[in-house]
Amino acid sequence: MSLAKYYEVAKIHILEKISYSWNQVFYGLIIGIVLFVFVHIWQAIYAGKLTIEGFSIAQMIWYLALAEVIVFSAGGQGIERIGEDVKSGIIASSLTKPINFVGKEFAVLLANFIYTFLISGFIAFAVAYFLVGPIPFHFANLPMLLVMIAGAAVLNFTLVIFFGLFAFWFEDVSSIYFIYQKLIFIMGGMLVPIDVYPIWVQGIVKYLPFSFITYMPAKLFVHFEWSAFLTGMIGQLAWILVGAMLLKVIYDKGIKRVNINGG
Amino acid sequence: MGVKAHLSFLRAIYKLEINTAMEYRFNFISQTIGMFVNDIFWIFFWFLIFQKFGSIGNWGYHEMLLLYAVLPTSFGLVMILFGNWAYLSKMIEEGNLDYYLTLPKNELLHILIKSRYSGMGDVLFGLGLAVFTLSLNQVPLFVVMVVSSGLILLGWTLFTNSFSFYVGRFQDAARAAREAIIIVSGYPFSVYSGATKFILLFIIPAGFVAGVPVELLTHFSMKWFLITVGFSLAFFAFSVWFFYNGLKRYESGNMLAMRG
Repeated sequence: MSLAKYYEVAKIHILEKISYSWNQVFYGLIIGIVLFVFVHIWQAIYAGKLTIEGFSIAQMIWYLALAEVIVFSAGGQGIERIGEDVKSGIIASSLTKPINFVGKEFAVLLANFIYTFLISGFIAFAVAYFLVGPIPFHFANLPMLLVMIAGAAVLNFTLVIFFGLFAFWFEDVSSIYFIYQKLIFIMGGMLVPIDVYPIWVQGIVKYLPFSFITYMPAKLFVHFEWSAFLTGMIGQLAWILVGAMLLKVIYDKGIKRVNINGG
Repeated sequence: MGVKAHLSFLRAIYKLEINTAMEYRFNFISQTIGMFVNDIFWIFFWFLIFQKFGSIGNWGYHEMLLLYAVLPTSFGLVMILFGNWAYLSKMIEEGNLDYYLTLPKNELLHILIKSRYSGMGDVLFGLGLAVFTLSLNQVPLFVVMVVSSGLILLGWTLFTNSFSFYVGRFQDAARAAREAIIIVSGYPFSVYSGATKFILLFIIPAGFVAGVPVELLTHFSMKWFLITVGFSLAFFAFSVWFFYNGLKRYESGNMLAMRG
């Protein structure tokens, strides 16, 4: 299977994004504003405390910055887009083309992730730097962090396509998108690090795939530990495998439901 | 077109929407349950946070419950009544407004009307929470606040989506703007002061979506009540103007399509 065509899909998607740079700049600004709001909330929560669950306020804000950038770049709305493709029959026409639908969606999500991550990351990190200053970061840890972010992205794409294909059975998948978004926000640790939750909740959410998408990379960013990196890697790989298998099952079952009427 | 004609038009459209919902009953029920579950996640999250920190800027869990009575109700109502609000940008960019522009109805009203069933789950959740958190004499204020909150949400989305008329592709940004106002509105409003508070009230009016309504429900102030109602009406009117001003720049997609 040649990867060149998927590379071309990703390239076209990035070129399209570059052509509409206003869109991305404003998107980045919105992420900056949300982060600005988070800073106020956390300033009120910290009031007098030096650390909360081992996070200083600066670490907390940088944690939130990376978590937010990952989530906003993750393309969760792809669930609705894929659902629309299933509903409108675009998926049926894709069967006649020499490109795999799942592979094409993967390429689109990847292109979107890379481009949005760079633009919104720049803005969010600038806002974090401006509001709380720098935090200690060892650049030697950067390759591991990038591996973790890449793993998070791949796991997320698998889940997004998986949930999008639910449209084979549901007429509208927008509520599935909203629930997925909330799972990432809350159980994934985008709104607060999951260390803040009671032990029994942590015991559950630490093993769910959502924490490997946001919490793990963001925590490693502000507080790197080899053991956490290895746990994160194993968790991501395991969930990617499970997700990929489920995705194959749902795609194979779903595609049998496609009716083609010509036209 | 007069008010009476508009009302009969709305009645006909929503009757059709209800019939469609009943035809796709499984979808309607699953969407409703889905959004209800989605909202439960939020109050569970805030339960954990308030268990941990006690209060945030003078707000406790009770205020958060009030917030989640107002916000899902107004959001859900907009979804049910004007469900195309979030797709306006896409429709502009893809030249899909042609159909509406050729008809003698109010263009904006006609474009926005579409029932998104998931909104029903939000409304049921918000109203359910209101039953447990509000006293009977707070109900009229709650109703006014839900309407003004809905006007702000709809106005902000209309405003940001209309940028597509002016700058071209704006879908992602408009979507982020809508999500941002909802995220920001879902936090305790008491932590803001000074310039930040001003910005979150009058520039990105997230404060009027739920924060100020909650503060009015707990400590009523005639001054803030009038500001909230006045601002929501003025902001919505401005957004409508911004849309129509942009509409003058609209370029047709030259698309021929049947609309069932």
